[in-house]
Amino acid sequence: MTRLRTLVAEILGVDPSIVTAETGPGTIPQWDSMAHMQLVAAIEESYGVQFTIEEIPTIMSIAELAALLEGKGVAIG
Amino acid sequence: MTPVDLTDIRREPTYTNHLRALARLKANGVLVPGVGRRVVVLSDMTVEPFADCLAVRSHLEGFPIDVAVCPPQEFASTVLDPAGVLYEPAPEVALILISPESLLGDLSQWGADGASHRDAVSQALQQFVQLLEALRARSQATLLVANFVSAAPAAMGLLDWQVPMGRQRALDELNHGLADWARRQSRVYVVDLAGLCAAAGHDAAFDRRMFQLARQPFSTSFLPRLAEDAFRYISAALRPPRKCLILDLDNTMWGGVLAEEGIGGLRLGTDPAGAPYREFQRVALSLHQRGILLAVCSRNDEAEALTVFREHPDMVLRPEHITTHRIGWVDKARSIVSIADELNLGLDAMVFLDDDSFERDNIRERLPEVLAPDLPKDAALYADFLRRLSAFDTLQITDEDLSRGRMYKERSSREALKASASSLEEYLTDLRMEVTIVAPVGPARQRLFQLVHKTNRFNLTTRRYTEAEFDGLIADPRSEVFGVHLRDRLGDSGIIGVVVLRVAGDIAEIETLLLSCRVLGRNIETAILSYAADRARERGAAVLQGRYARSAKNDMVADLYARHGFTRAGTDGDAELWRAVLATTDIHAPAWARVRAAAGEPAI
Repeated sequence: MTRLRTLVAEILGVDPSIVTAETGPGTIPQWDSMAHMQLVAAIEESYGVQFTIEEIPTIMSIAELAALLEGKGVAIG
Repeated sequence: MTPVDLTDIRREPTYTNHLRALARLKANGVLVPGVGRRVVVLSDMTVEPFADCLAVRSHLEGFPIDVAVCPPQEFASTVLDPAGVLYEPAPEVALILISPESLLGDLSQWGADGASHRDAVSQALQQFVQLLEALRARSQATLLVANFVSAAPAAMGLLDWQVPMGRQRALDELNHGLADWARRQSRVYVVDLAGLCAAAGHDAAFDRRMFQLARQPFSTSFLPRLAEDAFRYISAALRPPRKCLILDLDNTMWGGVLAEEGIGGLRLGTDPAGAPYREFQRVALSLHQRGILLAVCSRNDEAEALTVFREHPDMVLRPEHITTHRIGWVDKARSIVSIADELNLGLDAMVFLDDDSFERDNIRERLPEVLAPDLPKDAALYADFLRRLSAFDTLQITDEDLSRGRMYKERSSREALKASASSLEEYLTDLRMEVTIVAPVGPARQRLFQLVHKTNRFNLTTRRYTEAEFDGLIADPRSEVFGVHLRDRLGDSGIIGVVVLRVAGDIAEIETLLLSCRVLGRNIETAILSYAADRARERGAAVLQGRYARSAKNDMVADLYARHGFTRAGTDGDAELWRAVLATTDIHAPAWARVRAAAGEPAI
């Protein structure tokens, strides 16, 4: 999950050490609704996947994000 | 604040890399609100992701802009709210991106009813233009207005162009109407958003899902390219274009090394190996046609290289397109300085293209004002690279731009005449110059405004008026703005000078006096001062006051007023004041120059 956590930290502009599997919208102030859309777009671009319009608002944590990505055939270490 | 490494975006300009860079720029205190030139983006859609990419792009280009986004509400409410982001703090540029749906309603329901649609389009246009006019009256910003493009599919499908006013036709009419109106306004320019989206392909440019989720119409992968192109418009609105393109020859202008392969061995033509160079030359030729001077700087045998320009059947650029050249075995930095001197241009007006990274590094190191960008490794990408170079971008084109190449050639004939004349006086008399004073109306106004921003050397005060300030001076009865047009027996130099005269009580002050560097050394300034003195007398002034504000580039005019009999009268801030009492000072127009006001127009 390190690559995913690093990417999220880079985009939110926070230290990677504070981004854990439980981090999600609202758990850190930087992850607001605008950042949520940015993260979704960056993850889609970086992993070559597309989330559905139902999936995007339901992502509540890095762990859920990882699970969704695995469901789309992405190997998350 | 520490410098931020942006090489990842240069290598791979993805949206993700823009976001990474944005976070880094913010964390290092480089990208902070209030720093950079103020630009406001006004839209009825969510444009923050675009604005983020735009801010990053501006740092990548070394010209930071401070991008603010108006809240996404109705266009009218934003324009009419005096306390909004649109006006406070005052922006230099307002970029307006309005969806066609906000004017025409839901375009996916656009049907076959030609007559009512035609009315709807003309009403929408009228309403939009009225709001832009209201905005223009309330703000001094330059308005960059995106034309209309819709992400919505055509409701009529194949019938869209079979019916009298299909959806695309409606958008086209709106765009034509907008462009026709904007062309008649000062400081309003159209951003060809429709063209940019078409170049990317609508399927790639738009993302319906993002629109449904967040009212963000563009696909995120398109945002970096959109930001790159939008930045070109903003940059063109805020800074003067460079004026001269200096080209290397071997492996830049053509493929191969002339000294080794000879004229017959060069890669240049319509075959795959030669086509990239021909296409590159075509782009350079189109720059020449809009007034960018082309020069050559190459390590080669001069006679042999010039033969290629004259005789190679596949050359696009011919001797008449090259204003000057330095071909030989001398250091390129010295050659570039000498080209700049010959053309009377600053080094900051130069762009140097060379495939050799050693030469580019040499120039960057020794002449940092010259732009010496990296050429792509693959010659097939040269043409597109030159097309996308923002350094020559401008939003206004004048008659002078269109014929600049020709005028420089005429200047060479003048130099020849000068060499054959026995004295400067004889030469100037022989030129039979006609100096015509022109009023700041129509295309002349545009040219005067352009000169105010690009003239550095013969410029007494280097006052860079905003377009609104300049229009204000023209309208103000206490000031007189006029242009100076020059023609001689060898050709027409166009409008080459600007004067702004302000009259207060019995003092008429020359707030601005500038001359294009093309025409220096011909004492036109004396003719202009003489005319300014006449105007001052007619306005009832007793004193003509000149001003000299030293800049890094205008040393050549430091003694202008002294030379014309003015006496030093103290300072005002950084500027020296010079005065001539009109009753006792006579500034004679030189005998060789006929000064007259343009026929049919009032003098001012």
